[in-house]
Amino acid sequence: MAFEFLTRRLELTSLREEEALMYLEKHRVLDLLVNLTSSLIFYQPEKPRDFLLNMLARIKIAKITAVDFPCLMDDSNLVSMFEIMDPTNQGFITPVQYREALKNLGLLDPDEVIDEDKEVITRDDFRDDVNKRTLKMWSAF
Amino acid sequence: MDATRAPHQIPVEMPQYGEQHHIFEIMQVMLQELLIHQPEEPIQFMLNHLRRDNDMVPRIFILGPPASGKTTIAMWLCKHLNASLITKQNLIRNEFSIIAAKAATIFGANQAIPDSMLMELLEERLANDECVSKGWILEGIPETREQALMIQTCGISPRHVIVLSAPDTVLIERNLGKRIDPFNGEVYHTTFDWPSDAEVQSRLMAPLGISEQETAKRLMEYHKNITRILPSYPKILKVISSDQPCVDVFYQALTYVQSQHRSNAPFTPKILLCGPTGSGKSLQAALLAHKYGIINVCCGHLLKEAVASNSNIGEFIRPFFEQEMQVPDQIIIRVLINRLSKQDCIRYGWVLHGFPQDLNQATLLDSAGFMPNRVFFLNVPYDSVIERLTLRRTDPATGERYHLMYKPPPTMQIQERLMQHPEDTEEKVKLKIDAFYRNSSLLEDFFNDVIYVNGDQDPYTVFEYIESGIILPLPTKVTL
Repeated sequence: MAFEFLTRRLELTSLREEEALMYLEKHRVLDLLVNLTSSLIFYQPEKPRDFLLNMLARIKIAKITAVDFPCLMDDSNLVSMFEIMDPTNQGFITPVQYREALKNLGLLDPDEVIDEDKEVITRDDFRDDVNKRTLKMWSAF
Repeated sequence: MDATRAPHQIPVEMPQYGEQHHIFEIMQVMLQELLIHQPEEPIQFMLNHLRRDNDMVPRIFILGPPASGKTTIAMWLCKHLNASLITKQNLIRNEFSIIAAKAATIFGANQAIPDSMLMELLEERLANDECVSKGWILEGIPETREQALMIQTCGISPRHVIVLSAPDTVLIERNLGKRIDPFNGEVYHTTFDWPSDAEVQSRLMAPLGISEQETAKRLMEYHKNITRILPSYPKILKVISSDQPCVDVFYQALTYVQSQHRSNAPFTPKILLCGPTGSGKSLQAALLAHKYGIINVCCGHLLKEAVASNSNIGEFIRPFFEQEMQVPDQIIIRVLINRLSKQDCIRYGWVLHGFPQDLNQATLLDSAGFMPNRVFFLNVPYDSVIERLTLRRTDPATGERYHLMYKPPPTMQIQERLMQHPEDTEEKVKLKIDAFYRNSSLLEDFFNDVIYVNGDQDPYTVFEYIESGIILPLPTKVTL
């Protein structure tokens, strides 16, 4: 779960609390809530509850049809992000930058290791990989 | 350069939006509910929870010894807040429940109802639509620690717990005068609360078990249990003395129930201190800035700084200063916007005083997008202000400031050479106070949720009062 660092420093004192934490991890609740909150403060709707209801309904339908999850970052955002990391327009980014980008997007599991051998990650690689991970994350809900 | 790693500057609309719409609280309650119930389908559960929209409904426990007035207070609160009243009696008397029928037979045979049965009844009742959407007030339950723990295990937790208390002797005597109206169960008293309607008077009956020995026995039982129940509700408990008139107890209970507990929501203080000259605004602002690291913005100082720094806008202000005329609102607001938009103000919050002084200035502040989220009005009577300001003196030799009453000079030598600032004469002070009060009522109406503070106390007391106004969320207003 990508946002596990939020609960890392909790000191769990009882069995029930550990069960609760396992529940959060199993259903990836924190990822979902962070996503919802980010969308909420980005779009700043007049009626936050209705907006949340809308988003949750869309997620529910999208789970069944496996398409069209509500995403904050679309293709053009990903292209811009790549261009920020690659200002000289070499056409690729280093694995370290790639790792940091994934962490910022919340798509990197904390114990996952990025293949350091691949020297270059092109714009298309980046976009495809991010999309794949996003899909994987949403399907877990 | 990896711009994705640099410290990001969050656009200021985002935290403002979050604060205004209580996003943190919505998410917090949702996460709490998820953790308590741990549903298999979290998304459906969240959809149901959001549709119910019952975060703010009353969820109150009212506990107290016999004859403390629990029933009366509970009934009045129910009427006022439009919530459901739940007592042991009306749980048993429920006609629609099988469990209640069983409980009624046990109760009819004068035996005690087992705790587990009571819990089932309670759970059943709380699952009612009415309780879920309008809130509930539970009176007299839990009676023992075991019950309190069982309630907690079911996932039922109150937001406010009120415990009434009074000395035993008062209670024993009070119980002797207790009378009940058999029609609606309302409790009256022969001395303190006699109904005015003659018809009601004729119906009243004395309930069983109000003799002195009975009451004393029940009181002992109560004291044994209550000390073990109270630690279950550490932060949401309030003890109200019921040894005072009923209306006073009710008023205290209502204020408490409408108050909100301290929350972890991110909050950037944007404080406005209003009050006549001499009410202590600058002092309180300085204390706040010192303790919490928020930025102290004094309008008068800002203007003087602008002039002294010979900036462009200072050039505009200087002629007004030289001719001792009031600087026009448009210029002041520009200087203010300049200061309040700086990164430190946005990040740490600000406390503003000396502006706005009338409705026009307040509207300008609002349209500039700098509405404060806490507004305090310091009330100080005229004589106190005169006393505070006209007795100020300065020592021209050392620059030390004294006050003839609060901080007198140590030696006669110093006292002889003290001088008074021309602005501190009684006539000038009176003019300023009158100017303030002319505009103050319009200003009070302009802002929502103004907090009034008695400024006529020592500075640290006033400071604590202001602090509590900032740290606690604003109380919810009852919407009927």
